[in-house]
Amino acid sequence: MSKNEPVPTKLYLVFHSIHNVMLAEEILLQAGIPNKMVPVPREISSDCGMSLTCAAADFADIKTCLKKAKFTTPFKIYNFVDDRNERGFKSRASAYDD
Amino acid sequence: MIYLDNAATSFPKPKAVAAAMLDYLENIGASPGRSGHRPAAKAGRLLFQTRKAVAELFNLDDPGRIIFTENATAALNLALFGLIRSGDRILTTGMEHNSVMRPLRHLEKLRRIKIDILPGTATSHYDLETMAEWCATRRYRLAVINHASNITGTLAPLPRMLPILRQYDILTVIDGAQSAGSCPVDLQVLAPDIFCFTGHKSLFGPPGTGGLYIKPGIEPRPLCYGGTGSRSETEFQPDFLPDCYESGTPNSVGLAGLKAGLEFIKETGRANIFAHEQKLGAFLRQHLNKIPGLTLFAPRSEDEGLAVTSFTIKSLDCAEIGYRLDRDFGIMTRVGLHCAPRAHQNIDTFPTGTVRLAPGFFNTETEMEKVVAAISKIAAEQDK
Repeated sequence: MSKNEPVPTKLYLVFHSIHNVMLAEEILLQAGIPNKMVPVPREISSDCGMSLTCAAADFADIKTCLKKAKFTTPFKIYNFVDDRNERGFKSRASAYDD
Repeated sequence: MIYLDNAATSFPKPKAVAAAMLDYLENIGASPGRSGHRPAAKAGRLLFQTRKAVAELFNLDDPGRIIFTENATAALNLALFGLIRSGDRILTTGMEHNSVMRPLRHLEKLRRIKIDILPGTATSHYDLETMAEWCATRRYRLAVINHASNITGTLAPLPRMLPILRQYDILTVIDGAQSAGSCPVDLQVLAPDIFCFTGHKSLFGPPGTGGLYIKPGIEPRPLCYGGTGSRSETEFQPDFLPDCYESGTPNSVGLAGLKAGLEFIKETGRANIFAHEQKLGAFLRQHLNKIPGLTLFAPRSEDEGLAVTSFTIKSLDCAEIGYRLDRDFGIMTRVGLHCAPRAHQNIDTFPTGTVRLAPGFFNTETEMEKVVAAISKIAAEQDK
């Protein structure tokens, strides 16, 4: 990313099904990685599903932790940026297929 | 009251089961996997933990392979209608319940399948040499086997049967309605393709719970299509587990109860529960065997069966025996054909049936003494 690009602050982990959300939540909590279960942002999906939101700084830890727990079902990690301008809160998402 | 109908449904349930169901209704209430609010997340976690508890009982690593249905019958229907194709040749046994036979008989008409029934002895044991010969000379697509008989309690020797079936690439569906819970079921070792279970018998859950384990790589067609809470943007059924097979609102209140039942099994120790039930069953068989005019239907040896036992008394109608046991002695049994006409034909008690005694964990030895005394009395009065 270039110098002027805002730094991502939040990650959203999006899974196929609520079952995988619960499984990942448990794995991350056991590894001590803070996360919160929140609805999937509408920008990502119109699913009535849940996602896990974590700090962007934990990206590497999350990947390691899920890999170690042999979490094999597919999921996507979305990068969110808290980008405030004169019109208020704005966010962008880009997907990491993982 | 002496409740001996645990093969129909277990009673009483551990106190925690009703408490968990009430707690769900009063304090959680939401539907899992649909909305995003906190009660919904709580409900989702409850469902998840219940799946984990089932997986743990069956020694499975991946709880995602456990699908919940309303009972074992629904699970068997999913397995059989989902896997069997037109013209398939199917192997089953002489001890099956109607929840296997009725789907098979319908498939016989609907998809022109051929059904071969492996006969069992009067004590419901199978000739494995015959089974192996049939498997070698006939092309079976699928075998569906009753793990434990709901009439005689006899356990099918799955550790010996499954390897034979696997050798010939035959899909294996196991009806574990009577076995799952107290009887040891290690699905890592047994490794059937599908194992069907019910929640409201030995798992101590309420009625309306049950399910199946589906081995990775096995993909039955879903029977029921609909809303799953996932992939809402598409009108097509998801193809991943468990959502693929769980359309519609789950029975959250029931599964809350099932979870409590599973926790009870873990706290008490499955082996302890099993040992107690086996002791009661052995007591019954040992003493009933001595009653003149009484015919017992049980496996050859104690370690080949569960506590469920059937009997008949010469010249006495089963229905009358059951009625007298209930009215005069407060003992609840089930009489007749127990939804298993095939099994009764196999043990030669068709069409009159048997009286079935099915002790459970909450029965006591004192109660069994009373049961034996009552049956002795009824048998003694038959000639008067």
